[in-house]
Amino acid sequence: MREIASILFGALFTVSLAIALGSLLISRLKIELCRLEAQLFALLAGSGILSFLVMSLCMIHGARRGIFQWGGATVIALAVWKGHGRPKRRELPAVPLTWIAGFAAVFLAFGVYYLVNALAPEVSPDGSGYHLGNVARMWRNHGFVWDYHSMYAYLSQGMEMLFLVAFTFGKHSAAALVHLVFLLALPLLLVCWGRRFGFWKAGFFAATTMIVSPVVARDGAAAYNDLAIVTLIFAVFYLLQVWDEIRQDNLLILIGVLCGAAYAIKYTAFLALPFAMGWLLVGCGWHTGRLARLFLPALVFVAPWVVRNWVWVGNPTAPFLNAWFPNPYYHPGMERIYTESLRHYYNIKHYWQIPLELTIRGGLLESLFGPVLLLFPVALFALRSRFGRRLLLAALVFALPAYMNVGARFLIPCVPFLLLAMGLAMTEIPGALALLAVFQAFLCWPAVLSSWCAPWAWRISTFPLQAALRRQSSDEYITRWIGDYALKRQIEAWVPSGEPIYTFAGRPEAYIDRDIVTSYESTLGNLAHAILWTPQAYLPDTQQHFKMLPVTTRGIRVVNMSFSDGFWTVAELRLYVKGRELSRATGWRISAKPNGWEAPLAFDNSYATRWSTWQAMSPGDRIQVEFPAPETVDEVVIECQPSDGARPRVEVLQTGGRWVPVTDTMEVVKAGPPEGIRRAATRDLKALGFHYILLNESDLLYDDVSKNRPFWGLTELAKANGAHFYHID
Amino acid sequence: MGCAALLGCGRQAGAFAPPQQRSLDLGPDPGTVGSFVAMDDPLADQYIVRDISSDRGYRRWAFLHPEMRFRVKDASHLNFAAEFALPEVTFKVTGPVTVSCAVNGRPLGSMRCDRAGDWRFEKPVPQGLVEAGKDIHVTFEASPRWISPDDGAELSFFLHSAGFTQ
Repeated sequence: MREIASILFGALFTVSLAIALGSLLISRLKIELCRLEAQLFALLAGSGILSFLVMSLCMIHGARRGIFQWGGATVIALAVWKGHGRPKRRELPAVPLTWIAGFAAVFLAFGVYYLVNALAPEVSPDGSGYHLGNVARMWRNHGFVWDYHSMYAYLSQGMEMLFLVAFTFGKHSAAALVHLVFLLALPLLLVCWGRRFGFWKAGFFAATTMIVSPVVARDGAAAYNDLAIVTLIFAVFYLLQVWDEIRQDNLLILIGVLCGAAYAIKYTAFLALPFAMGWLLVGCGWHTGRLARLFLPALVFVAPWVVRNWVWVGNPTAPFLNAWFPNPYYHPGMERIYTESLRHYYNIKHYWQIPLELTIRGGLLESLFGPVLLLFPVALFALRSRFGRRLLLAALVFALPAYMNVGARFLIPCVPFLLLAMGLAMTEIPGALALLAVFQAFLCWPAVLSSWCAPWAWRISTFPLQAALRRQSSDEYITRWIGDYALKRQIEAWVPSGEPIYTFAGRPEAYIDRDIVTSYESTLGNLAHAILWTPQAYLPDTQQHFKMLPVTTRGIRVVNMSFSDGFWTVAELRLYVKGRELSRATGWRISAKPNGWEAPLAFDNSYATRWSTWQAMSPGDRIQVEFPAPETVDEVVIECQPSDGARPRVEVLQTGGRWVPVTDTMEVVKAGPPEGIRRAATRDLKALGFHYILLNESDLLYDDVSKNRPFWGLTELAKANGAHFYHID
Repeated sequence: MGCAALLGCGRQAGAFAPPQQRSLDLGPDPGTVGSFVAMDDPLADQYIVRDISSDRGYRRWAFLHPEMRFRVKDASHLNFAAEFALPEVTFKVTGPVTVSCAVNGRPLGSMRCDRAGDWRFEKPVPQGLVEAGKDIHVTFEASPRWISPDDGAELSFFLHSAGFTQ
């Protein structure tokens, strides 16, 4: 019971603190809002402010329980004191009680279901993985961990900042509950919008259809951030229309705060700011003062994340645009592979499958919105009205990120606009909206939903009351959903604190008290991946010999002369004179372009490591060595797995600093695979600081490891549910 | 941020000194063998061609026509050595045993073992008999062999280790 109390306290404290901060801001700005509106906008704006404050604490490693507790209590007390005796805000226009009662019934029934799911131990893939994995790491270190590199750590983490406060008191489930609050706030905001602007039927319809939507439910009841994003985006849209009505310039500050907070939570929400600025420009032309009121507050919330990444990683937009901002932590090529993997769902054979998958099946695009969304073309009838056109424009703009990822949850931000537009289009048809809302609610009730959607659609499918109340052991519950959680105790017993573990697949980092380095999340992960894959994929069994007349030079380089989508790799680059290899002296200066940080891997005498461009090849890519004193060379040998499309040419450095081509003629010799390559791979992994590996039976490397474990020099320490935990001997 | 995007001012790697040089002598891979093996080596199975028991342990039974394979990196000045034992229990039945050895089908030598216990067979390998980097097949013959009264299995000796040394 004490655990439940901690969870609830953590979530309520965080939400109360956000509302308190938001209330203080709204009061200070003297914005005219109705009562329910003011409370919802206080929550949203306050979340942005709280997130900003926690981020500031994380920068200086001041994110500590005491600061949250006493600082938070002071702010809440201040907000209560300031709010005391303030004149009551007016109410939104009245609506029929039957609609309110109907909506309340759905809201409560589904809300309780979601509450129980959020209260149960967190088992969502990303929630138990990187969202709360980042939070747990920050919690252990009282702030950002500068020497831990993962693409997920570079993303803006506004939501994780809120999670951190909740997590401090109530751990994982408290964080999930904070996200649930956004899920519950969104339909209320939709109802408010409908009531304020005279489309209450559309508002109730959109709110009901939205809250019961399976993807919205599953996402919102987990420690994700999508519902926070959509709520903030809709809030921006909402306030822009309020501003149209009342033209109170202070409102622009609040909109700016919400735009900035949206970016801080997820990059894809950056669109909120240009959308708002565009709205302003269309509404009142260029007005520097107004634009500044919107832009500057947003900048306050955006800038810390940009600056943090610029200083930390060398890339303000990390983990994206790495070709523009080369850095040693994330390769442009990995970024390309990652973004392409998100853009394509390979089981989708035709675009016509997408509407059905998104509304009825849900198996191929991760989840579904429910059958009523299949009527989305009806929304086009809303083009007849000004509000309808605005809603559809917003739906279109906020659907853009789905181009990058067509998974259902990336479309959530456009759905409230689409539903309101559908509501507007059908508002005159007697009973239609109520009927459709009831129809959607009935079909999306979890027990009913499971009877018709694809069995593997991501959704809420259980009512884990015993786990939520902690009557069922959390370990047992989590293991049922996340098999490798069963290795937690062995991992924490075997791996000394501070030592990393290497894995190909993502793990429930939020629950394992050790740093986990995943193959695709960083250059370090990529390197370890490539090393382990050497025997299967990168055996350097080819020698490319470039012979030339003896030349005495201060430098030699091999330059690629062609474009190709593949990466150019060099396992070893050796220099010879009269058949004798030049020994690699400490005075040599080795460099490469691109990915110069890994150039030494072509000069380490290991066939398990290699330099790679880690981006598409282009003319001018090179690997080079300069000598402290002139050296005579008559042959350059590249040992590699040949790269398709590479056209290398040898150049020498002339006195005066000019590079001159000497030969592009190579003799290719098949050298056969080097011996001991498996042992070399684990040796080089150890040199990177890894002594432990987690492998899944589904990992392609597993077969080789299980058959040839002695050759790898691995000892199996534990296994559970298809995951194997090894120590490198 | 916009200016930065235009300039593309990320970090530059600079130049590095050569890193620590790694050893290339890391032992065999699956399907490959070295020049010497002890029977308790985890990779010992790779060396066995036939008629040596597969039980992992300090020593293994050699049966009717035991055969092993090895590879050497340098074929000059090689000795072949094998350590084996004749158990008391079989020696009582067989009496003195003659163990002979052949490399790539050519006899290398033999020795007479006139007591139970540990023995070491060691002979220089004639130049040109083996080639570096290629499989070398070694066969043993023991006479007489102990024959199991139950199933007729023929046991030669207990093998501890075998291989080429320089």
